[in-house]
Amino acid sequence: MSTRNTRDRRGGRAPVAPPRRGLLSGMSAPPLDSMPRIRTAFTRGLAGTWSSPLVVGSILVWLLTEWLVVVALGYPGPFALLAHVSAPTPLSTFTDLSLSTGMLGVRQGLLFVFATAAVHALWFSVLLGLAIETIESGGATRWGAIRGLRAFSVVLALHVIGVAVVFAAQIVAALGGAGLALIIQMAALVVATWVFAFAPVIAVTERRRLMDCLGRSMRAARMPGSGNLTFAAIYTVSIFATFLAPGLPGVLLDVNPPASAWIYVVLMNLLHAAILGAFTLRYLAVAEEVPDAPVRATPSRERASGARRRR
Amino acid sequence: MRLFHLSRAPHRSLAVASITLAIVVGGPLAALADWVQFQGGGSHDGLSDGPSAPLALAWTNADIKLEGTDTSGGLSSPVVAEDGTIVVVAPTAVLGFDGGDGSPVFSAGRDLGPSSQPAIGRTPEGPIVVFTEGFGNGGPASTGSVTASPSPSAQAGAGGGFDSHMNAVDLATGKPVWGSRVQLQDVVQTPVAVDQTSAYIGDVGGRVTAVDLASGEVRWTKDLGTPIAGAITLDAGLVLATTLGGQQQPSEIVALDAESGDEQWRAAAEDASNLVTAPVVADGRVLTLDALGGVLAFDAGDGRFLWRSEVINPISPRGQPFLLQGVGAPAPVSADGQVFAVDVTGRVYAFEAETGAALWDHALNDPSHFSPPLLTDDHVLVPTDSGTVYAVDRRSGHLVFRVDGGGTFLRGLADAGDLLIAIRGFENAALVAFEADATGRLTDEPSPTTIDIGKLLTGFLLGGVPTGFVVLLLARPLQRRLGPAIVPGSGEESV
Repeated sequence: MSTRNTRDRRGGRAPVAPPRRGLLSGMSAPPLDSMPRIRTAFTRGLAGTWSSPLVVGSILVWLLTEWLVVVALGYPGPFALLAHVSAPTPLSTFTDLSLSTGMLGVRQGLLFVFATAAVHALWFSVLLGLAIETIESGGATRWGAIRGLRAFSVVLALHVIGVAVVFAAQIVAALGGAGLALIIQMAALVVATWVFAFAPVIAVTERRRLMDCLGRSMRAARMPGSGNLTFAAIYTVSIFATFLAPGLPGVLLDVNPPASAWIYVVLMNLLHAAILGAFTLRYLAVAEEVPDAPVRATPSRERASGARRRR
Repeated sequence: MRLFHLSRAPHRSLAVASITLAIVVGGPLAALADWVQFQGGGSHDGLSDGPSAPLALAWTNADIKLEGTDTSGGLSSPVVAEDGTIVVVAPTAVLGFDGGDGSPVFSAGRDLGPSSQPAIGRTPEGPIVVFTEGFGNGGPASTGSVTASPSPSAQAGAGGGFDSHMNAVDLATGKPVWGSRVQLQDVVQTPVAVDQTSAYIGDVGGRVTAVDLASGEVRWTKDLGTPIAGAITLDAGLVLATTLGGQQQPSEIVALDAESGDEQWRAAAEDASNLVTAPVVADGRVLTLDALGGVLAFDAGDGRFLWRSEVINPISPRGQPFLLQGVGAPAPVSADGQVFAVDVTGRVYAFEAETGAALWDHALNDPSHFSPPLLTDDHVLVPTDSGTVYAVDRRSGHLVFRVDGGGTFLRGLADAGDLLIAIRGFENAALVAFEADATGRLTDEPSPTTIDIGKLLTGFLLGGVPTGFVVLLLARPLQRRLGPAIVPGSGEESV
């Protein structure tokens, strides 16, 4: 642990809050030795998840099952929307929103979005558990999937936060005008991905509570020299580009997607699985160096009673 | 003998006269066109008795030069006179074309303005073309100039303003027919409507103006407060206008008395969004569309709300399947107990007119931003942005035919008797005509939004499964070579 401790007046050890830093101050710091490089982490994540028949098979089965279900519920397409069903929030939030409004319309769909988010949170937790296991042990088993369910509440919370992020970004983008809209939306996605990417991994590997996971994820993301922001930016911007790219397969209203659409959607989900593996490796590599949460100063009994006497 | 000759002569004359009458009168009757305004008639029901699928391209007139400082609006949707003359509005001209081959017939100057669809009305002196011109006070550019062509309103542009007017020219000669133009307060982006005596327009300021066809005098004006969203509709002595609504004002259908302009009733639906089309009257119902995908029906007699059905389209821009498109006016069509609507993505919907229950939908996956469909006895004909006309069977909802119009942004299908006329392109505008094609064959394609489990699984088995196998085959050797990512027991990564 890198947290420095000192002794307080009573002889006990009290954690010292890390020096306050600006949001982006870590970018100018030298590289963190213990953090795997982006390329290395991605290669490890890709090799780990893509070599697991359980991970690849699960993705295929989930995509086919989810597609059959949403079509049965009245969703007319486009199929390409499922390309990001395995992405971390808020990237997968677009899938939540589009699926729910695509089935029920804008008004009812916005209420239904949390039900969609819950289903996707379940799937994401399972996939994350498998990805973590491939990083930890080189292969995935069903126990990894079950272990991943520990992250369900955290992932669901992140889906809810993702909806808020997407709406907030759209409102701010609308205020900023058409020229800035794209940049604002993309920046919001990058920042949300950056600060929350580790939270589900923490929930699975350390079994912490929701707020602890979120706080620890933020602190891990902001570790100086970690390159986490760069990683999140490269990943998010690349995925965001696919939202805007014309001519991708599966973007039409069609409930019987052609082979090309399946190839695209399966590959994108595999890419997200590889990224989950990369996030896992990067977090586990620095887990013991992540600073603890600063202790909130609470008024002592003496000070509190003194204050009462003065009154 | 003389008597005999005399007695036979009238018979021969009668026969010759009959044949002549048949040729002179019967010929034009066969090609009689009746598409003198937006969607055919005053009720705008879009019903055509002209050719239907299979269709073929009959002719194209791409030799149309647009003039003016801003030609991006292209041509208006066409209207067709009874004699077959096709009339369109260009940015700075009103153009007439021969209905047989598309050759130019007349050209009349016009102040630069949106290419709103004109209408052809009757006067004692003959048919006239009524059109709008100018941009009002919010012109496209203060330096813009009015065309130097012999516009009946040439002098009105003097002073540097972009006044908005209603004007009329003789169909036969292209000469102005009114003593002076009708001054309007705001720009008009919606089609002109006509009945036997008057022309009606709605402007972006929310005013409905009725003008006498013969004299060009304003009969009445009614201010409805918010922009008029589509063409004015005429039905049973009523003038119907759709108001777009604003932050404080609801979006409504307002019925005015055609004689006096007095308000008769207002109709709105609680859960409707902004109404974006003309009110279309069919079978005693007023039909319109709202921006959030609502298809609405009101009673044509008293405006009583009947039903609202909502279409859902995940790929519609900003979640709005129906958009207000300026001069490109969407509208539902209806006949025989069915209501049809086409959204901006080119998805066709059918509803039961009595209840609003959804019957079928067909995703053409070819956007149709700028034009309502046209309804024939058997088909819904949909012009699209790619330049294709699609024919969808009215009963099954299956696609039965498609024909290429030879260019993009096809719009404004109009019944010209034996032909269907349309406009394509904007700055490179062209007039195209389709005719019935006896050699064409109809197909029977269900909508891609109808599940076909065999096709779906084939796509999965040919695309998804092989991708998974390939990925496994490539990644497993890589994983073996790299070894575990984290050294067991150490808690550290093996990078």
